[in-house]
Amino acid sequence: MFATPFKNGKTYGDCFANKGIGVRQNYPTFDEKEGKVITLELALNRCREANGEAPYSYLKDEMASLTAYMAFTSRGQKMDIRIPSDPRALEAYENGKRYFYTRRGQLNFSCATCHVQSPGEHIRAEILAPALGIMNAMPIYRSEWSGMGTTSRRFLTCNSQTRAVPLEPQSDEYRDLEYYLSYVANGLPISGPGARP
Amino acid sequence: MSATMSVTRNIALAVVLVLAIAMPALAASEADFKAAFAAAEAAEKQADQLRNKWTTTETQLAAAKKAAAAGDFDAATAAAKEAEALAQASIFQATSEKERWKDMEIR
Repeated sequence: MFATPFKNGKTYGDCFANKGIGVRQNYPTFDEKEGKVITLELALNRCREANGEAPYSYLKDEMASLTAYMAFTSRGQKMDIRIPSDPRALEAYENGKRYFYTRRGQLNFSCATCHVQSPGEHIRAEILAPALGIMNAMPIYRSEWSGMGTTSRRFLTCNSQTRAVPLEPQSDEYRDLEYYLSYVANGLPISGPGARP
Repeated sequence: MSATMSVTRNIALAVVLVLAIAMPALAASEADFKAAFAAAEAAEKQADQLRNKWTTTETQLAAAKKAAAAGDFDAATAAAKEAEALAQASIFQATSEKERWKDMEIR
């Protein structure tokens, strides 16, 4: 799928450094021209659109397959997220941190409630993963899904599990959250695609 | 206490009892539902602006609409009031968390 040319003859590789091989550890990036965080999922869909193809769903199926391949080619590479000397980049990081620690939903959970205070504990049949390095294993196979899911899918389902209405995939909040979680995992190796019970 | 006073007191008590039993049984009207639903929607709109809607609020709003469509304005009004209460709670959460999130931060 990754190597199959678009209708115009170009490929995903033409949209990424090193033809998209072994670059997972550099995403998300901060685009100083746009002033926003660019996740790998967003970059893949923008690549498709720039080449005249319809974007994929951000949640699973093709997007999960593409990111799984890119993660696999990057296994062992250390997460290497940069915050450029741009106040908007630091603001995005801070926004991501605030989102991570903010309680939401009727259950009054923040991301940290599960992934900082309770990693290793069970919520029903699920074992909670630690926040540190959680992005390195994305995308993931989850038994609950009986299939692969993207980072977007994980964020949306985390929200709905706390009875919060999820935001739209790749909203600014989720992009900033991924930026924060990835930055704090700098130095930890990419291990995706991963699996969770 | 005279017999007249006792009778008067008993009648007054009976009236109060009848009213107390009868009042909750008064059916909610369509107007009651519309007012309750409008208040709930306004609160949910505010929660949306704070990017903090709850799924349970949405469920109650949908239940209110469904009951109203079926002509059950008692259930519709009750669901709308529940939705407003949930929306107000989500607004409180979002507002208080503007600063309180820092308490949870690892330093």
